[in-house]
Amino acid sequence: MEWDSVVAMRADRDGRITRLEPAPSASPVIASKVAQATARAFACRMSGGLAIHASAVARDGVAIACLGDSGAGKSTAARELCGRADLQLLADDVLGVRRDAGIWRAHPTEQIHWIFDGADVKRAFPARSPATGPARLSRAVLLRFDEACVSPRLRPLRGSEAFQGLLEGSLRFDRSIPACREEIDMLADLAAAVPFDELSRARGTPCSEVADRLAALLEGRGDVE
Amino acid sequence: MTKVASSVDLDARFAVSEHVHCRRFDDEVVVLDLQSGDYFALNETAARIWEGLTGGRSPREMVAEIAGDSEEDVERVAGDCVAFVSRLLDEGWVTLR
Repeated sequence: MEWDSVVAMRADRDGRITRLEPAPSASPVIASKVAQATARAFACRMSGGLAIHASAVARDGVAIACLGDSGAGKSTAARELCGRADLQLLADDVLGVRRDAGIWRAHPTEQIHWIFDGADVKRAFPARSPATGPARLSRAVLLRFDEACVSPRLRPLRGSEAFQGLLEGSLRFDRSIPACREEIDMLADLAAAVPFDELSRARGTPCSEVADRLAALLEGRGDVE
Repeated sequence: MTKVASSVDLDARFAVSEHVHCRRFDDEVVVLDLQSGDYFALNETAARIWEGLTGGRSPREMVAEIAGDSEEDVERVAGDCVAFVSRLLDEGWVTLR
C-alpha cells in the first residue's frame, strides 16, 4: 500500500509490516505520523482487527482509549496521562484494536505525542514511556466539550449509542461491502464487550482534571453519573 | 380493509438490499447503508416493523400486529407504517420480492 508522496508500506497477511519507507519528497512530520500510526493501524485492520481514531494509554497491560472529534483533546489527555507514573503511550491519534482469544486488545501504533504548540501546528514530543506490546482494552471514552459542565461529567454510552460512537471513530481502508459488514459486526461486538462512556467538560477545564477521571476509570474506579 | 392513501402495497413482501446491514442493540436497530456510509437508529416500533418486513411479513400483517398490541387506531398505525416503508423504498434499503 502506498500513501501518495508520503510513505510506502508492505505488510504480510498477518499484519506484520515488512517494509515502511517514507517518500523522498514527503514532509518528515507527515511521513512520520502516517508511517507510525496509520500504517500500523492499517496493518492491524489487515490482520482482522479495527483501526480507530483514538488515543490510548496503558498501565500493567490494561488500556483506556479516548475517542472524539479532532480537537476534542485525545492527544492532550494521552500526554497528560503519560506524564504520570507507570502509564505508557499506545496511540496518539490512530489506534489498532483486535480481538485475540476473545479479549479486545489495543495494539501500540505510536511513540510520539502530537500536540498543538499554541498555533495551528502540531509539535512532536517523544513519549516518555511508549508501550511495547498490546494491552487489554478495558474502557473507551468519548471526549467532548460542553460549556454547561461545571466539572467533568461522565455518562455511560450503551447499546446503539456506544456502537454509533465507535462507528464515527472507525477508520475504513476497504470500502467493499464484505469488508464493511465485517467491520460493522466487529464494532458492534466491541461496543458490547468494552464499557464506553462520554466525558464532557467545559473548554478551559484543566487537563489534569480530565486525566484524573480517565486514570480513575483505568483503575476500575468508574464513577459514571 | 384499511384505507390508506399511498403507493405502498400493504401486501407486498420485502428483502434487505445487498448494500444494507443492520444490527440490533436492546430495543433499537441500527440500519447502515454501506455504500453511502449513512446510518439510522430505529426506535422500538420502527425496529419491530423493520424486522417483521425483512423477515418476510407484509405491511398489513405488521399493522395488524402493532395496532392489536398497542390498541392504537389502525389507520394511524397504517399511516405511520406506510410512511416508514416508503422511506425504506426511497432510500433503497429494501427491495420488493
